[in-house]
Amino acid sequence: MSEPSTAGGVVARQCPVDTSLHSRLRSPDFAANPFTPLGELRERGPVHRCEPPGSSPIWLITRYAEGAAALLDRRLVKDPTAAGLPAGWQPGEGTSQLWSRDLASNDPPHHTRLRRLVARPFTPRRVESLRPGIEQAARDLRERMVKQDTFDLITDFAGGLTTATICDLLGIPAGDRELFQTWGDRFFTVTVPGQADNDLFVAITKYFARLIVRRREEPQDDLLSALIRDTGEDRLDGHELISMAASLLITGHEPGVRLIGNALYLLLRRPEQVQALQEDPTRIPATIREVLRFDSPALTSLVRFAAEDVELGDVVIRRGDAVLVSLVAANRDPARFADPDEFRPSRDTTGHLGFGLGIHFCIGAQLAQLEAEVALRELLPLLPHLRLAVPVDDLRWHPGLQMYGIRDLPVRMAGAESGTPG
Amino acid sequence: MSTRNEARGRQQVDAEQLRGWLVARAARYVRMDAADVDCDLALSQYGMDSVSAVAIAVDLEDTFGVVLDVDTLWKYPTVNQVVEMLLSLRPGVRDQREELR
Ligand code: HEM
Repeated sequence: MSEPSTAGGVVARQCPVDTSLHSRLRSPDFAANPFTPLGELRERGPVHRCEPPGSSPIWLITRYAEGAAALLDRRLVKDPTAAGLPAGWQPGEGTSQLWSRDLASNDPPHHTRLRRLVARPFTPRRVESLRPGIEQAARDLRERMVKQDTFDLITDFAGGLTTATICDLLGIPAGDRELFQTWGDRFFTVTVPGQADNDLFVAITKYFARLIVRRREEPQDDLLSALIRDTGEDRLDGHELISMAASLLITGHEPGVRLIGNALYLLLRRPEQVQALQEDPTRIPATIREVLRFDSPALTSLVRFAAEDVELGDVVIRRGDAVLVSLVAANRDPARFADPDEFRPSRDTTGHLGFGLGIHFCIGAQLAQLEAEVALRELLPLLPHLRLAVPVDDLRWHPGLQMYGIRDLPVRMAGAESGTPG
Repeated sequence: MSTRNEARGRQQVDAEQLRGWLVARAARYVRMDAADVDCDLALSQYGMDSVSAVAIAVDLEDTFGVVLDVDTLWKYPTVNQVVEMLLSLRPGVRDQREELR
């Protein structure tokens, strides 16, 4: 690591925890407990410089005020080209041609137009109309799951529910969902198109081209048909339709599963909360909001680039530098939420950053909360009878800086032999 | 991805058949009369967008047992160019983009 550099008269904060913040954030312990190291960083300062090999500096923001300010700052952009194409980044980083017109990697004015066109049919009414279908899927999954002696609340339940929900929204025919199973897990670990296996990318692109053509000829009452519909005004073109369909299918899956998984794991360890929710299920939505604050599945925001020099906290972020907001650290900032390390569903969670903030605020926020609500309603009666089927130390956590969450949650019914109490 | 049936790859098709099929499919996707499609004009000129272009490549795969890349219609923008390319794919040879799959 090099000498602390001077940026605009202030010393840039260098990896204060380790010799290399980068390696620290990549250690295996980090996945299971990012709160302690991120909390230490937050105490030391709001913004931390990290120098990954071969790339321009990345600044990690760990305090709420600076994090929220960064998410709202229009000078921090998604497209690295607008920031002078810093070292280590490609134009439209990780986006293949056909997938480049999504929401998450575009800036105004393109983003503004795309977001308007997608938001118009993506209404709360349309999302709420999916409830009966999600409930049915949850019932089916639970019934199938509990036939086994031990089962996994994440792979056997949360994963299937999240897939069914997004497929319902987009209008992916039930028969085609098996296709996603054969594409397998790999498919849903694609978060940036450029990281996709090429064959997977090709398969998804081909799949949606054909589905869109079918919906053009015979529209259905689904989001895809609504996005296609020619209203005579501005509408999505072919590239944009493929980008939207693929990104909506993929973007929401992983965090959606982690939200349900994190919520279930929290409740497994808090029988008194389960009881409170059973007595008053109207508390479920507030509980989910507190999970989003306390155990935010989105560990960090997506990456942004400084299109010009930006003063933030006690540093100056140079044009071309990358910025990541640690949503987990911001959501546990004691300056914003009192007793932040306490899980308290009754608290006011307004302003939590679990879904981001500003123009890129998660467009699937409502859908994600609906599927989590349905999941909890369905599984609450079961939870008091479930015990972890493996020792706590054997639980696996999602690696990387992007996502925080438990990866699998194997359980068995209490009374079934040789349980390790959860 | 699915593996292709070798027998289908060897299916013999002549240029006229291919051309007729392509014109009909393109006309359907851009909603025009097949009689008005000029086989030497880029299909994008008739308003064919990327969705239809990829869909035609997939339809070709299914109908003629070849494996094509998503950007086939960018590389071969006219009906006649696509026909020529397809005929040049020797029977039994899966395709020239093997490495991409
Ligand atoms: C618990 C589940 C979810 C969480 C925690 C979550 C979190 C987030 C966050 C933090 C962002 C902001 C990223 C940034 O600006 O850096 C975001 C954006 C986005 N999310 Fe989600 N998300 C979830 C579910 C979903 C679902 C179900 C969908 C799709 C239906 C979805 C689609 C999107 C899209 C398209 C964006 C980009 C929006 C834009 O740029 O305008 N998300 N999400």
